[in-house]
Amino acid sequence: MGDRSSNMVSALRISAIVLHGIKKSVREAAIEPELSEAETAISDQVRGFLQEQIASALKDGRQIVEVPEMSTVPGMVRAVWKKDSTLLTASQTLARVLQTTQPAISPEGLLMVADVTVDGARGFLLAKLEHEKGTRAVREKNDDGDLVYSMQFLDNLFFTEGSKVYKIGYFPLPDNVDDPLEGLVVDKQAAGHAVAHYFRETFLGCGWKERPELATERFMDTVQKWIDSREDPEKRTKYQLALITEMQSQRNSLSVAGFVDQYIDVEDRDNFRRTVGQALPSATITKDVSLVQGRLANVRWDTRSGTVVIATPDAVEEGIVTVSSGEDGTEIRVRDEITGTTGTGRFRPGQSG
Amino acid sequence: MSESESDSDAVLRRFREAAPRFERAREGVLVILKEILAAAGIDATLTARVKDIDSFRGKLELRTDYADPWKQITDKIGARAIVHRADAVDQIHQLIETDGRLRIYDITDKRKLLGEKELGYSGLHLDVYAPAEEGDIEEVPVELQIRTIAQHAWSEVSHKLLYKPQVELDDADRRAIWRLVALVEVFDGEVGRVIDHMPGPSEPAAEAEDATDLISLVAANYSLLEENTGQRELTWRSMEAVSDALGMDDVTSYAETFRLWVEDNFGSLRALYDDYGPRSDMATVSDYVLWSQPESLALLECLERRPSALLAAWRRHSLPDRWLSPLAAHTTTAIDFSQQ
Repeated sequence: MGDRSSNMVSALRISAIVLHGIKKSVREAAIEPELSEAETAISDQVRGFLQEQIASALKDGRQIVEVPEMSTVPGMVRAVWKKDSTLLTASQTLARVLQTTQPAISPEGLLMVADVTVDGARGFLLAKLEHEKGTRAVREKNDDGDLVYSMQFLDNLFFTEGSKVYKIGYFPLPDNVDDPLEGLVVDKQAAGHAVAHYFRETFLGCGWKERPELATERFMDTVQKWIDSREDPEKRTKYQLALITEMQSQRNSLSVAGFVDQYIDVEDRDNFRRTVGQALPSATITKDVSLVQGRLANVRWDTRSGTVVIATPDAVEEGIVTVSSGEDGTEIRVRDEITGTTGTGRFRPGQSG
Repeated sequence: MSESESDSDAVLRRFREAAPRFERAREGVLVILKEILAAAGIDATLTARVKDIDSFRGKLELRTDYADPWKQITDKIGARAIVHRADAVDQIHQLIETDGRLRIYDITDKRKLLGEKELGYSGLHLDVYAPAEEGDIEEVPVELQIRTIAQHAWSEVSHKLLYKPQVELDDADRRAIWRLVALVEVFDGEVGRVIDHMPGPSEPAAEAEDATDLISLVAANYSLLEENTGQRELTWRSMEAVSDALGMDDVTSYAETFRLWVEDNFGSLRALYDDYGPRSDMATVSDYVLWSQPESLALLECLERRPSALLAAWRRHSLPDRWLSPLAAHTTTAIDFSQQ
């Protein structure tokens, strides 16, 4: 979705779209999806709304790359681009593939297949949309002839504002159409923003673009660098604690936007987005702390005199260790009971963890 | 011009044949004017037309003093810039000269034609050449009129009343029309004075001046994409939030940054306004109101580059998130509107 560093707005446009009904799968039974026999005509308002929903959703996308032989889907995407297949024909096959690959617990819904452009560059979009429920108020006359608002129950809504019941795969046309596909996958529905395994691997035939443990290490290093560039020691401590907390949390994903909203003070947010956002992908990262585990146990302060203070995140959070700055320097105060004193080897200055 | 070309029929035929080229010239001049004014942050109403064939024929037949009518009828293509302030007239003239893409070959400054005791129409007319095209056998002249709103109003009214051929006004009525010219000068003078001193609805004067400059800046850039002017009060309220988010004393430094951002993103912006702007079907959906407002450009830039500052300012000014969210969807920065 555009080059983040160039501060681009992104214009996603749907050129053509096909919708197919996907039924609830039944174990060991061949189910045929409810296929459309033509492309779907949509009004400009519906197109505008869908484009907006998709553009918003893709901001939470995770970068994926095609794994050869994992699925037939990338081949069908290429067939459309090469004009070996029409969008309609390819989408019908894609619907059958989704119908057979989705697990029995997956609910019925729609497969949306769309030929799109993003800032004029062609792309391919596949989305599994699930039914949502809602009500609609209608002003009408009741049996006594009085005007009232009546409520109607609707269980056939799709892709409403704030919806979480969808999965999207998006592939921009590569420079060479035969190159492995790279793109984004979004699954708001999965717990902790995971991505349903069947959708990413079995259906889309893709793996993560960057190994999660490497991406996580890069996230940690980039945020750490930004924290170290803060002048206020109190803020540095606060953000250090935030970074450790985020890394230790049960969430299985990391994102610049999520970290900003959760931990960064309003006055620092835009600076964080600008500097950190330029070094990291705009997409969400799958978290794997195996390479940074050793840096998550404690918070460490190095001072100019060579003094090193190390504390557990809990001790900082509970106020046992506090950091404050004044005119004559920074004060690190430990309000605790000393239970032992030992000598240590020389610390390497500035090395945390 | 050859013997045959001086013949009215030949000139008319030539005019017809040149019509597609004139139309391209008209569009080209309009685009250049919009770009020049947008870069300078001047808010003006720009129009351009190719003279219709009836009007051209009329001029050709009625004016017997033309030795070479093809060359002497210089308003075959006419463009007009209508500005709010009288001093913008000279500013635009200067900008066109500096830019150089529209070469000026003649200037008629009506103000200089008036003596100190005379009152009359005081617009500035520039005769320029449209940008050349491959295959041109001659330069394409365009008459550009630059005038204030008041001058424009007087010109339109007086033209209809004083020169209406069917009705001959008596001296008293003619004098009544000419007396209105004095009001035009007073009107323009007062508009300039008020804009110079205009305080904002609830702000210190300096900040209000910043917001006013910002509004002109965004309106001028928006005119590159859309023709409408939006709802003024909404613009004011939104731009107060933008000004707040920018948090700077001088918007001049912002003008260049903003202009470059519009330039860099022009293709995407064009596509977005096609889908969501005032000409789109989405314009009838209330939550998309900002897409039909000039300030949407500044809001998109802020949502891209300083989203947190904008969101905080937006909420401080008690503006609803639901207006901002349809814009935010199309920037690359993810914003969680559920966060307080």
